[in-house]
Amino acid sequence: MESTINTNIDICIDEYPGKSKTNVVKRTGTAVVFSSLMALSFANETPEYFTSIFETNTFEYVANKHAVQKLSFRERYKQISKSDWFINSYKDMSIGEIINVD
Amino acid sequence: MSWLVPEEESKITQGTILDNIPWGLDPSPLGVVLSNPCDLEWGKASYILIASLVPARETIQLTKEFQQQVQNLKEKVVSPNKWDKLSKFFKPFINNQNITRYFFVDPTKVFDAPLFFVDFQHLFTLPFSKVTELEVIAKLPSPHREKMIVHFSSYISRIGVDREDQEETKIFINHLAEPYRQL
Repeated sequence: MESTINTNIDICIDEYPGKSKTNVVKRTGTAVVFSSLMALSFANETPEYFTSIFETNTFEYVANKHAVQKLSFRERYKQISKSDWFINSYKDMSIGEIINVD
Repeated sequence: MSWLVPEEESKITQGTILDNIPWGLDPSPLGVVLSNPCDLEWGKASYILIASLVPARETIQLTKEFQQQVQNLKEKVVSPNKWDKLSKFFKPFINNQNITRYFFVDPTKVFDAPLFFVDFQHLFTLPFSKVTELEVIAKLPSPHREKMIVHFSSYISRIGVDREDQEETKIFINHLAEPYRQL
């Protein structure tokens, strides 16, 4: 089980470039402890059970879900920045009228 | 400060950040819901109104105003004075101090993406029956959500009015400045 947890943390670190291991461990800590306890009760569960633990904890699930999606958004936006539709729509455009409200 | 929070209920309401929006663009940007939350909640919305989230740095760096800021810079490392001017240029956007076409959003604490602008010109409406095809990513919490809507409504409701001609303007300036006058 320990190696499963470490693997999951390492995967999270890969998905959080620039984040320290400590921070990632904190983010996943609740799920890790919970999954460890559950693993003691359900030692014969499949490895996917760790993922389903995330799904029972809404915040961690969302955090984990977004950790998985992190790279895809950044990469997608890199592509958007280079795309024809983006450059044609924004290049040399004026910010336009600015209404000062502050 | 993170502007976004995770959406825990997968509920679509005003300020919800969505993916899988059929913009017809490749690659396709995320979007944020502008529709009135009461309309969404009480079955009064036949369509859902969404604005795109565009990359803030690239968007602002493509503008004429930014190009003017950097046009005479030969080096990428700039003097403190010039950096101060650049900072003053960016700060009103970062704090959404002024109402413009763009509304700044920082998603970085919730998912890995660049800083965003909501673009009030890049809008999309989708039949409400199709919202199940959209993926909920996060939400813009209150009061940022309401502030975004105030910016959107103010931006979209601007009315172009002819300005006074130069001679008329001079007369008004002279009147308003009395007893002071130009040397």
